[in-house]
Amino acid sequence: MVLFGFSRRCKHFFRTMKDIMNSAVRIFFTLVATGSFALFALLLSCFADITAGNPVVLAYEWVPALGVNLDFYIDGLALLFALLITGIGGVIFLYSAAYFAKDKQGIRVGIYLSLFALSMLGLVTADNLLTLFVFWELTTLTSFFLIGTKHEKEDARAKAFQALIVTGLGGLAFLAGVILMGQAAGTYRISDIIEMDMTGHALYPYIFGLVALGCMTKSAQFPFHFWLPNAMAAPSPISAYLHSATMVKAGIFILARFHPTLGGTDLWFYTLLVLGGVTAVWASVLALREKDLKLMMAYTTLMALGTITLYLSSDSPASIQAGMAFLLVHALYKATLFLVVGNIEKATGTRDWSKLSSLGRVMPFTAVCAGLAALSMAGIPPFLGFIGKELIYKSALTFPGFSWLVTAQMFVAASLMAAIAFFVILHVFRPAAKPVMPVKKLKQIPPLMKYPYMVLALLGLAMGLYPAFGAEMLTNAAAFSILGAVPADGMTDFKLWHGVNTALLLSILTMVTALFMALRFAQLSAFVTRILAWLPPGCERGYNRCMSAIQAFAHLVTDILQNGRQRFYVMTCFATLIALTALAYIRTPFVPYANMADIVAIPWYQWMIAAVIILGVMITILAHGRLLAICALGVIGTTVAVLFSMFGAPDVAMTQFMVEILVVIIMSIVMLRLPHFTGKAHGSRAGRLRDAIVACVAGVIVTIVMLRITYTPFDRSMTDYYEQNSYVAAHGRNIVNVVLVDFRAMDTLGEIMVVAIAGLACFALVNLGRSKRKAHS
Amino acid sequence: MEFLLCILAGVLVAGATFMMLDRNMVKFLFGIILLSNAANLVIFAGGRVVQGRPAFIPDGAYVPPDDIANALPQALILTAIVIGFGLLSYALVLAYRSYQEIGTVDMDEIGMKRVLGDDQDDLAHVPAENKNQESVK
Repeated sequence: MVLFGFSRRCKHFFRTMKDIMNSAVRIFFTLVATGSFALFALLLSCFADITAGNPVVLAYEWVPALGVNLDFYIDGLALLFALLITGIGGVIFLYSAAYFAKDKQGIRVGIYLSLFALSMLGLVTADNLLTLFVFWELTTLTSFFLIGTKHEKEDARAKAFQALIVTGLGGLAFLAGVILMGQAAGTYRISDIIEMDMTGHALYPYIFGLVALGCMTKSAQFPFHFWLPNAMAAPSPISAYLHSATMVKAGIFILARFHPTLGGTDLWFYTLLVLGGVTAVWASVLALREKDLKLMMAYTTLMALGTITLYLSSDSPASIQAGMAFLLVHALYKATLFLVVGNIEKATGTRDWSKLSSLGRVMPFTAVCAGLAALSMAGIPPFLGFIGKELIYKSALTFPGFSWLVTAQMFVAASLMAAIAFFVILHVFRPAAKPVMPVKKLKQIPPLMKYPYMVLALLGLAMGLYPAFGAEMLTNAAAFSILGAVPADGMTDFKLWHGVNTALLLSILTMVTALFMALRFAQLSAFVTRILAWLPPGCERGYNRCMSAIQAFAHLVTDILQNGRQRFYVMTCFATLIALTALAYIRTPFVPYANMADIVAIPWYQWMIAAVIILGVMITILAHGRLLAICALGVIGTTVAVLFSMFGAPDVAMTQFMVEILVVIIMSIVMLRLPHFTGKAHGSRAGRLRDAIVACVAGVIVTIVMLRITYTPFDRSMTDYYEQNSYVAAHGRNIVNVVLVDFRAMDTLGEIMVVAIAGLACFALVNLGRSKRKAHS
Repeated sequence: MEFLLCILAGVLVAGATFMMLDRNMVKFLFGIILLSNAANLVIFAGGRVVQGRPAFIPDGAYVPPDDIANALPQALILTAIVIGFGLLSYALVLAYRSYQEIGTVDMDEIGMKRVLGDDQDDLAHVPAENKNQESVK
């Protein structure tokens, strides 16, 4: 009874704890959201200053010796990104407060997410190349943890790992590029570097290649695009924040940041043009194949990233402005759409569009948000998306060199994207006569997941209605930072109505095409899927092949080097020793090793002693019985002791005698408990021969090296010091003893400790066995 | 004078290497003993030797006479002997205990047992419920 009551009380206690934890998640996210909005307000207060062309600069010394400073530099470009990070971040934190409220990992996700927000903010405002890299890596790391939020699923772990590998490898390339850039520029201060033009530098191709590789992996450009759809294993708010609005744009930010320094060459132009263009078109085609709404959104994000990259390839003001405008537009509508998908999944339990319909009837608020964002995505006036698309078409028509190609690419990408936007409205939200799914069994959406993000959707409308107010200033400020100066003929105004021109006609054509495709979406999707099935496997297959090849190679090396056979390890050690010594021996000049006079001068009894030792070694090797071998070892030891005493080392000789006796006794005791020798000493006859050769070579090498050492001049200064001071300073007449207990007393202390520890370890080993045996019996 | 010591060091190293490549763990230990003797001789010869003049300061003198034995390598060898002894005793007990646990002193067989032992460890990680189910079956 008592136990029962106790367990009930425990249960009650845990339930209370759970409630507190849930509200702790809520409190945590709300606090972080407040902080984010406060930063947003702070940045807004600098808005006028920065857009007028006065960057905010903050500086702290961090590791001055290495030139690493915590400097921050906020110009128009950084401001645009920082406002997106803090503004969208705040909304997403509020959304997450409800989304993760009942999640065990709520707090953990919150900590990673806020760490990510800070690193991202640091990344876009850093004024030091190395600080920039540190923040860059922090975003990679936090992204890894956030993609793997559902870490109990193997699939999520694998996808998180893939994102980490791809972006982490790119990060390494980026680090190399950043260091080269710093070396070439002579400074690591970004605000100084962007004043320079490095395109003529000898290292330019390497710097550009490495930095671009980092940016292409981070911003998921072809052929590294596959990690981004896989990163959708993360919960929706995380995808909305990291993999749509902010992190994946870090690569684009870096390209934009170093546009003045590295841009303007053919290499830059063609690399970005081709990769960006391929990514944009290919991703929008792949989006059609998906049944999962979130994956669809991921592919359209890829399309947007490709478009912005493409527009950064040129250095004409019109294309830079279009790129930045599209970045702002995309961040606003895409974050909204991801959160909409999050709501749909929370309410219905699925993200598959073929199982969803008529959601507008049951989820009116979500439907309004989705509608606002999708219309902006489709580029319908009066939304900001329309202005963005007009700018894109306008600058595509005047794109230097490849205007027809870029225009065609943009037309395809924009129509497919608009088709997807229309399709989401028409298929998923429009009240249908015969809904695919029963609409009654919906879960309630908490208010924090319904209302706050509506701000983002409404901003897309408001900024479209009053474009000159916010969007234009922000976009142009960013474009000016990239271009370095306000262009002479000014920028295109942000207006809904520019009169009838080619861009408008293209827009209308896009709308018609998109509407047609949206109405026939299912057929289109099936058609694309069939076509794609014919094509050769994609880049992800390449990644998987690489990964399994690396693993196979690691297995191979491990199998060779760590095969668990002790004799192989010993052989490797001796062979390495022999090889290295032989190498050193070959590379040094020749000196005579021994002269005949010295050898003849050796008295006969010393030869006898040497003969005894050699005989002892032979007997030890050849002995069949253990006791004979031990005796031979004893003979060797004592004979060595005789040698010591003969050459003026009585103390050493005494110690050697004592230790030798102990060794023989202990050996004999242990041998009684070990089995007899068997015939399988070296495996086979060949093995025996091989071992004998290795042993002889080792011995010969040691002898040669020793002879060489003893025939080089000898520096006796240290011994001279001990001899001069042994009596005068330490009052001892036996110099060896004085060295041991006085001059090198710490060595002796260490030696005593080693012996003591060895003794303790022996004792422990023997006793461990004893207690275990007792337990068995 | 050092010539002889160099030859002996070489012979001892050759013998030690050959024994350490033996499949029998006991012979490996013998090899270690030979190797530590060889190392002592190497240090001794490296410090140069003189015959029959130990490193003492005679009564009444403040400094030793010229051309006595080099004291420093002797001190180092003393340390080396004692540490070698510690190493050997520990290795001996380890060999003895591993023979008790594994039942062989053959190095190659021990390597094989280790591989098999890994598999057994994997079985040990199977959750308790599964094991119970198996035992019920």
